Amino acid sequence: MDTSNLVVRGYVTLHVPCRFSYLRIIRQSVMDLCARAGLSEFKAAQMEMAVDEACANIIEHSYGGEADDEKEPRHPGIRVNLMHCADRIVVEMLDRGKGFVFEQQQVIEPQEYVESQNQRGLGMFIIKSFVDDVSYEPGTRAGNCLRLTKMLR
Amino acid sequence: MRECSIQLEEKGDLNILRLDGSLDAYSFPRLESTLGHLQESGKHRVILDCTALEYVSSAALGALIGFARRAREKGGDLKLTNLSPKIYNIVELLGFNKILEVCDTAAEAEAKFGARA
Repeated sequence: MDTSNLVVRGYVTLHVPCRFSYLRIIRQSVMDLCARAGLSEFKAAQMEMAVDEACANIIEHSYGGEADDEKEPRHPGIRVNLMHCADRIVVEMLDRGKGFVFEQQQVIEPQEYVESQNQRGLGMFIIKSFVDDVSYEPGTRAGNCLRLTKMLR
Repeated sequence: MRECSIQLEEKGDLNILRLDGSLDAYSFPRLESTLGHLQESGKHRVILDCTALEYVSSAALGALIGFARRAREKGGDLKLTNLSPKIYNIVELLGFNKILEVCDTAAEAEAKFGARA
């Protein structure tokens, strides 16, 4: 989805370390922006969960795990752009990890997930089904860009 | 949004876990560890009080489903109580309300366990 001609009403950028403990800050920002935009509580909760699962995936898969104390000062971390547009909320997550082939990521349906033994891998289903549009551009000048869009109506 | 805390209360042969805050990729290993200790101790009848739960990730839901499945094999179960509408909506969207038993209150969950207190 091309976002270059969207009318942006509010814009927040976060730059967070590659640490699971910072996911809470990202989620809080998503919920705050969704509330400002007038998104219903249920839709906001879906956006919150999709962004949380996406950021956890970036830490686990694109970066191969959390940054350790020694590397953290030089680690590029995750840049999160949150945009409140006239008719939608857009959240971009940028990282400089190895990225992944988004289309080839396994999507595990909830029923299949329940029947599996290891109870992992539901995140991609949530990312793809809880928002209205998902796009992924690996290797842009700003890094790998995962963009989630939730329409307000 | 608060960090997660988990309080455990024993009530007869029931174990009540009270969750507070967010269960996400950062905090869910603590839940996994607590559930693992319960299972190792042969405690398979667990009520999860979600009154103060603000967020639950897919990994945490997976840990709950895994525990419930193993507990049922031992004649026990894991029941969720006091879910906020926000959390219940997520559980329902994923269809997990058909896998995990959801009760309105802890008293209802205890009654369904037929508490042998």
